[in-house]
Amino acid sequence: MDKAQNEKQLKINPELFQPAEYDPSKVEVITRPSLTFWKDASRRLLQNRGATFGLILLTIILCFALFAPIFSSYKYSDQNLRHAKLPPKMPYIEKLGVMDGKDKDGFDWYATKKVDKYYYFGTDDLGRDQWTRIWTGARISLLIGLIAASVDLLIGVMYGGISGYYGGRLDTIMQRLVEVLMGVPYLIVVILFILLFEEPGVLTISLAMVVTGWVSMSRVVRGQILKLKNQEYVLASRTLGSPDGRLIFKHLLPNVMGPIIVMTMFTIPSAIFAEAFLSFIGLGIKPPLASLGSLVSDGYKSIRTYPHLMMYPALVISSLILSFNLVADGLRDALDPKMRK
Amino acid sequence: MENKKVLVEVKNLKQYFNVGKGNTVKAIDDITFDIYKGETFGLVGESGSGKSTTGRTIIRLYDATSGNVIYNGEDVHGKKSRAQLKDLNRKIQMIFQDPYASLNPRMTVADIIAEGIDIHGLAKSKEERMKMVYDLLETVGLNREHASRYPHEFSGGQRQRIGIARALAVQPEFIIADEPISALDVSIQAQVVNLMKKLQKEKGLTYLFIAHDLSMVKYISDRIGVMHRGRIVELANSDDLYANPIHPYTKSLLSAIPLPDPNYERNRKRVVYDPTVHDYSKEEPVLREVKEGHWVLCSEDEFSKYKDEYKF
Amino acid sequence: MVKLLEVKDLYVSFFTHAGEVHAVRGVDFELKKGETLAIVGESGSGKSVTTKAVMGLIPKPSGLIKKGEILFEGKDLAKMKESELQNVRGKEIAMIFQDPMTSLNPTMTIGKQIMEGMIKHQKVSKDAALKKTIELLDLVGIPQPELRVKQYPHQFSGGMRQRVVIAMSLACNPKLLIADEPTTALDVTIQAQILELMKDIQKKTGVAIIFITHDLGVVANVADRVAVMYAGKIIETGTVDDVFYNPQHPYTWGLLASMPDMDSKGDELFSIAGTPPDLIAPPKGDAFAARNPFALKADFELQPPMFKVSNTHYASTWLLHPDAPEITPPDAVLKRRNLRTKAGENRGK
Repeated sequence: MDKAQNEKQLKINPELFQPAEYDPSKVEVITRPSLTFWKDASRRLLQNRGATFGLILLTIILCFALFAPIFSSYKYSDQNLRHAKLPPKMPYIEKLGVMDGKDKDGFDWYATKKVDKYYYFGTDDLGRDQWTRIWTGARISLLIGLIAASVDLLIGVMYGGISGYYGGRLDTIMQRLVEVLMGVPYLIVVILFILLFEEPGVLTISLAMVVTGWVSMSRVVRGQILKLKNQEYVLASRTLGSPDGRLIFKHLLPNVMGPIIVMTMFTIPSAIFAEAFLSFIGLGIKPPLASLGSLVSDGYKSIRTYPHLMMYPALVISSLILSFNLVADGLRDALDPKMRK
Repeated sequence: MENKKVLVEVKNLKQYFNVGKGNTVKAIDDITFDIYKGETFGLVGESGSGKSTTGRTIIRLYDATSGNVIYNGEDVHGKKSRAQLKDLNRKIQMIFQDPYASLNPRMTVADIIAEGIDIHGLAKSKEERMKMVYDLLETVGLNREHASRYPHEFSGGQRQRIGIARALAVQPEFIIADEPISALDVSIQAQVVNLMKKLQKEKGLTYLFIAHDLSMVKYISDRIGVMHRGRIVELANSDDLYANPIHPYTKSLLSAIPLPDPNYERNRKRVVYDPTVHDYSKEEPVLREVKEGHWVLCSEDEFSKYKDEYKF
Repeated sequence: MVKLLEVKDLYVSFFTHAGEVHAVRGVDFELKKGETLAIVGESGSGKSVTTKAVMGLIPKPSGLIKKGEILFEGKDLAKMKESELQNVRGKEIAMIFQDPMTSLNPTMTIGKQIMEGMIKHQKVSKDAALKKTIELLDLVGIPQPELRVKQYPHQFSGGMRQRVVIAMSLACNPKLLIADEPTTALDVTIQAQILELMKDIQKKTGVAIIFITHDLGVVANVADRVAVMYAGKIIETGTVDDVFYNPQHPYTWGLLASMPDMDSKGDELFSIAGTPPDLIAPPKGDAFAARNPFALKADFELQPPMFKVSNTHYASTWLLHPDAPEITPPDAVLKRRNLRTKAGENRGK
């Protein structure tokens, strides 16, 4: 023990050898600042670079979707056949040599057709402004995602919650039912559901996705509830005489909130994606209304001659899905109780 | 013991769990014991012995397969009106093992402690509720600044004391402590045990203390039941049990506890329990009183053998 | 005896969102061949982190060995590259963890798991490895080892699994075995068997053991020497008799006095108030001072050095300074001093 020193070498002010005051009440003081779960989680989320990037991207897209159609000088349904199939042209940016109204061969259609207006993302074959259509489409896509996710949430949480909380025979029956639903191919259900209606609108498409979509949410919730209901704090509350309502709303749901939020965040992009797919097979939103999916699908038809018709909506839809997934991923890490000490 | 009043009677309690087809686990297999008012009854056993299930069945967290738990003359498991149930919930309370799992992470300490107060409507106003919370915090040695914090900010010992405060909030008479110190550090265990003893003295509480740490159980308990495979194999006054263990399982359990005394440890002789020493082919063993207040699970033959061996 | 392991002035920190946690703050100890050192401490005292540093298992980048040397047979493990460490780990130094279930792969037979390390480190043939595996299982007291090698972890009970883990750790004839709370998850009767097994194996193979635990009863059972850790420092170290019969640091007093002995009853247990300090901002002076009823003013101001009590016994408390006032330790500690004289007498016989 090299560190052990000879006592005599130490010269210390003898006053220090007075017994110190001992106050046992002081030792219970907690020095760290108080942090609630949500504060802690949001800080963790912001520390995650991917999630922060996703959050910024998402905010930008949301802003455009909200405000671009309002401030645009065109309506999404305004047709102007004289101005059909114009390439994109944006003020200021045109000076950089991109989005300058020239097509891929360098031919300036704006000059030829004597158009003095700006179509930021160009126009489609009916001369409708793509910029307005894309952001209106983004609105529709987001709306479908939100409706689908929230109805999923509502049904899934209730179904999974009841199944997991009451357990026993009820749980068995409910789970068999879910398995039957899972057994039916998802696409067939969705397509049949849409075919029931002549003109599929935002609501029908959203609901079609909910028909089977809530199942996964209910499974997540059921699993969590099954795990949580035997936690000691739930048992403690039961021994205190908590009614079911209190157990569910005070103890179970707040602790399942994390996975529910994450699940919802993953549902939104997959609903957007599913709608895009439906548009592609011709079952999506009907014109003149557009969703990002139907825009991509329309643009795809003339991808060789007018690539801008497909490129911009595809870019927006990809960024939208990417940002949702990034945020959801970050949320999952931020809310994961295992990461907490 | 005659002058003592029986508070809890556990009669032929059985708790079987179904695991898959035709498979039943006999977590508790016909146990009978009494707990006297004001005493601490220790229940020890290894994992899977059914000691925790016993505690949870007594407090109705599980429905018993058969048998009764009679609290103060009233059957705990019988059909009950809501008011009767609420009344029982106030009288019987529980302290849990895992200080990290027994507090809801999304609630503040004040809300956790006040849960019983809220459910039973014990406070007339918000101020009264907070005053009760502060008093409870002080009772368990914490201060009022802790009320607005969340469980994860506390150490294991502090959390366990919050759990005790929660149980105390409804002014119970009988507390089931399910391994309350097993998950705590040594220096903290003493804090919690001292607190429990102090509360018992002040409030006249009765404890069922469930644990696998036999030295602490002996210290805190008046009487101890030893459980093995769902049955009580021996039940006696705690000093008597440690001084004169009769059942071979108890002997093996006692000989296995390591004590903080190196010299004792060097000379320790461990007794190994061999269940085949019992011959229960002719009759099922039952608890028999070998000497006053000292019960052992045995057959008729073993009973006379034990009686001969332990003439006190 | 030859020094096998020497840890000098070890500092380990973890970087969390709340700040730097000074988990180990200047730890020195040494271990001789064939000896058992028990490191005792509460959760968060740094006992596990210390041994993880020895094994090179500090998670990066959140953790860092800030300073210090870990000399294993003269080579500094703290400065080794990961690839070099891998040769030491498992071969020269093996580790047993608390939970036997998580240290075994459920999808592999236990035979394969034990042989894996042998084939990797010792370059032996499969047949030879199998033979050795069966010998090892026999050594750790698993009946019918020829049959059991082909079984999966879930076919073993908790105690048997821990035996398998021990057999696995012994596969390459390590010189040092680090056991991190190996019996905490087990029942007392199983714990007693495992402790007996470990002592038996040490006798047979001469392996040195670092035994981490918070259970003082277990320490008294297995250890030759004891190091008591508190808040990232060793505050007392000595032979098991030194520490149990003549403890010097008030924290050791508290630990020993807070355990009831078999004949104390009714009187209040000695208890240490409060909780260990937050190691994000370790207190100046003796970290135990705030919880210490015997604290001197010096304890709050200055870090006490290791005072020598005897050739084998050192403790870090200002109470050992010649100028310090006389203090009567708690009754339970005084009782222990008598136990020691008894222990001496017994050995004399």
